[in-house]
Amino acid sequence: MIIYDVTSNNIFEEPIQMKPKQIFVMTKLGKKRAKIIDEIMEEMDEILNEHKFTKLTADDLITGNDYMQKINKLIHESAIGIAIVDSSFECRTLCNIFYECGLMDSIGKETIIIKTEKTEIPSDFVRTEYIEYSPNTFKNKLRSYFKVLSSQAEYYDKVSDNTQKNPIYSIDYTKRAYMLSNSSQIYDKLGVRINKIKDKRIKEAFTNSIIQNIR
Amino acid sequence: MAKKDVVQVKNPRTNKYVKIDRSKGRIIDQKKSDGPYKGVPIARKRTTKK
Repeated sequence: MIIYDVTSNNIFEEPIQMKPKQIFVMTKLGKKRAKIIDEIMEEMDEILNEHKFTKLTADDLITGNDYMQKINKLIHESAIGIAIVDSSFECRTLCNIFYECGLMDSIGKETIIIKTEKTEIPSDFVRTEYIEYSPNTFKNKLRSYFKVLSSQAEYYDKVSDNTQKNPIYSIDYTKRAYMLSNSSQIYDKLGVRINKIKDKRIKEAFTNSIIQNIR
Repeated sequence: MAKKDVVQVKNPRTNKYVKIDRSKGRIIDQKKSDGPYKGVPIARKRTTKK
């Protein structure tokens, strides 16, 4: 997959290491946000630990580069994007969150929106899955979502197995299965499938973007 | 004419089955209604040989 540098529109040459089971959380950052966001993050942590996922926000990564480049890197290296929105957020914060969410959707990453009661979602996202936060039901709803994610990884794995005549297609599905599962078996499949590519430059591009050392 | 090498897999996101042409390595169709396609084998999970 060709990744573009969002600041120059040139091809982004620096390899981006995929981080399986990493979640990019898109929400309002800083201390001035509504208390309910901290409650959601806290409850979310419990479920993420159960399913062995880790989360990152844009503030957790210090690169020294352009802020948007950093966001772009986080989006590409993460497996899932979780947007947390509340009606108290300023318009520009909400616009940024949904812009990032759309970027993730467009490159085939899993996304989910967690919204507080009475918070409206832009109409372009009506088909995107969302969870409405309620202290009594939130954890169970999120647990169910992670169960579906694990079936989604299996689905990608099956599609990848059955599309091997089309290596680019198959490697992409294998990569997505690996991102959601962190399975060593799927990682091995990736190595085998990438090694079958004869063109040195294409092989190198896959190696750089997916795995650093093919076993 | 050779029989097409086609299997089907259920996408948990949509709960619909997709048809894959294995000889071309492509998804060729997605079922609009519930349930599997008739006469098309369901792909099972493969395990790698050690």
